[in-house]
Amino acid sequence: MLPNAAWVGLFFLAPLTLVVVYSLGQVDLLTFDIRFGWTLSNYRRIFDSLYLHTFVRSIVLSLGATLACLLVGFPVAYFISRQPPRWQRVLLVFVIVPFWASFIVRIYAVVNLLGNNGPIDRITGSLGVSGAGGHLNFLYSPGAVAVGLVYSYVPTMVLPIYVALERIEPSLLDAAADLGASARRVFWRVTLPLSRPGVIVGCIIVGIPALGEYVVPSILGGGKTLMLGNVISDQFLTVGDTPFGSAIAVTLMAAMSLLLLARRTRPLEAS
Amino acid sequence: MSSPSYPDDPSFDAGEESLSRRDLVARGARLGLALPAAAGLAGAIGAAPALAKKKPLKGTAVLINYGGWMGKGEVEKFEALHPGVKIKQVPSTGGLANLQRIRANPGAYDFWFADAPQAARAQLAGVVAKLDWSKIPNAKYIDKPFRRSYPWGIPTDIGKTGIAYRKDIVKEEITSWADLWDLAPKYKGQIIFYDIASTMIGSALKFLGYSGNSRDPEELKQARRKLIQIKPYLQTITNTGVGKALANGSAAIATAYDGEVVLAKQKNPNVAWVVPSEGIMAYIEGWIPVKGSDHLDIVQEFLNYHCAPKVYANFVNTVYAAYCESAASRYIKPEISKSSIIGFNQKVLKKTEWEQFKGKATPLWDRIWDEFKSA
Repeated sequence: MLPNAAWVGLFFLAPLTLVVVYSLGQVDLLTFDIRFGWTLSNYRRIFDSLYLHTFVRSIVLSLGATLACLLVGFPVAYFISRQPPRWQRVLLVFVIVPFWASFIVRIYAVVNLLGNNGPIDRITGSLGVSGAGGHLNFLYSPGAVAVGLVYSYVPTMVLPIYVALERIEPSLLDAAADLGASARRVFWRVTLPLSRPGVIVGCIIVGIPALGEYVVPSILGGGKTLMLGNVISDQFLTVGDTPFGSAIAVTLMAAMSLLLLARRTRPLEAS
Repeated sequence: MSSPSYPDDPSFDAGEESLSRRDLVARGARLGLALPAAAGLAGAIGAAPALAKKKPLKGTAVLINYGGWMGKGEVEKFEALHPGVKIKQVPSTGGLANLQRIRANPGAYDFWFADAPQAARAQLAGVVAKLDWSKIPNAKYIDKPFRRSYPWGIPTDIGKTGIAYRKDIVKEEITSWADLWDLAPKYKGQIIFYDIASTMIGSALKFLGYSGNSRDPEELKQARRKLIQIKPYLQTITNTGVGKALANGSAAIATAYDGEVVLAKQKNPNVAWVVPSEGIMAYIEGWIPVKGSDHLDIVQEFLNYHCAPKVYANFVNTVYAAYCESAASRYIKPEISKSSIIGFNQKVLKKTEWEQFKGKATPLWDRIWDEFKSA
């Protein structure tokens, strides 16, 4: 127990405590001296319309990306789970392969794909679909950010859903069929409910990092779509207001924790 | 090696220095100031062995620097001239992050690459050492306006932000910020702005006829309105790939540094660069010493070496930046020194305002920029 506690304390609680302590301080932006006056002024600043607006935008984009990843990822996971074990392993490798490349490199690859004169632009151009200047002009738009988020996070949605689907006892599906359920009914009444834990885990694993995402909006959004992750990184790296950046980070973590806790209470109520 | 001589670089010849001392002493003797001349002569004779016996430099000076922002072979040559001395370069992580690294690791760094606002801020934070300019005689080759604008250390280069555009795509002539704003709707989705608050807010202020470093809240609000006005027509707000986008035509107009445009023009001669009639913002950057450094002597020696015109010219020829020493012009590649974009141009410099530290107005500038990015 003690080694586990020490590990969690050192690598989780200690850094988290540091961030919380910094969030209660104030910085002199001329000299970068930080005073720990235990003030809540940084948290009050978050309710400024500028940052609330960014918060809402981040939540909307994150929810949209999570839903899109689910719509794309579930069929992929279902297909893989229905294959013979040998083919499942091969297909899972294809799902995991993108992680072998650097995240930034993958996003820049998307820039080339979506950019004007890129392959997608040329295909749509040849089909007569184009905008101003004869180009799709899709890159550097909120749509491109959404595509980037989905592209980045679909594999992390596929894997937990696949695990949940793969664990479903085939005998349950056979029993449902034996009792007269059609294939569609078996899917909706048996397969889908039993895949719920995987879906929930997938949504959490995608939704949480997507909420704090800042690389994808910076690169694919053309810097025009300010998300909460951008604000946090700006505060730390450009402005130097470490306490305020910490306050935003703590607020984000608190919001996500509340969501997770709300989710956790439901199974307890059901039992 | 006892004296600051760089035999590979005849532009800085130790013999010249010694000759001037002998010359001075000879003049003193000719004037018939026997005692002072004798004293001076004795002093010179005494000084020469003292110079010869000057303690050799030893140690490693650590420089936080942008990758590749050094003359080709410059460090190696300097180290060859000073056995026992090393200049170790570590990558820059950005102005603010560098400052925080330096504060968090006293004694770990000896000098670093910073622009004027960062240097001013660093001085306020108490991390800038005072240079002994008598140990950097080659600083005299840096033109005075740049020395005045960068008093903390040695300025290495400048970057002017003008308007770059593709002459073959944009049929209209652009001569001012007003032209850019007027043409924005027509070239929607083909305009790139830099993601740098001091440059873009500064440019908007110049457009409005104000100082590009204004601290007036009302003027800054007007600048914010101007920026938000053009934002819907922008393709992207970024610091990377601007030159590439202009060269390959994915952007038609961009705010662009002079050095970046020169490289873009090499790929596509249709890229033009103009200094808007309202004026432009420019950064000046260089190397500044860290307070508490144990190797300030090495830092000063290296800075002195760097300022020698031929050495400095090698730096400029390597990095392709607008430069601060007109004395080095004759050694700089003609495509740089004779370039109307990054060559030495007094007329352009008269319309240039240096980006400065905003002091207590810094939070207001940051807020204005966030509001623009969020709009």
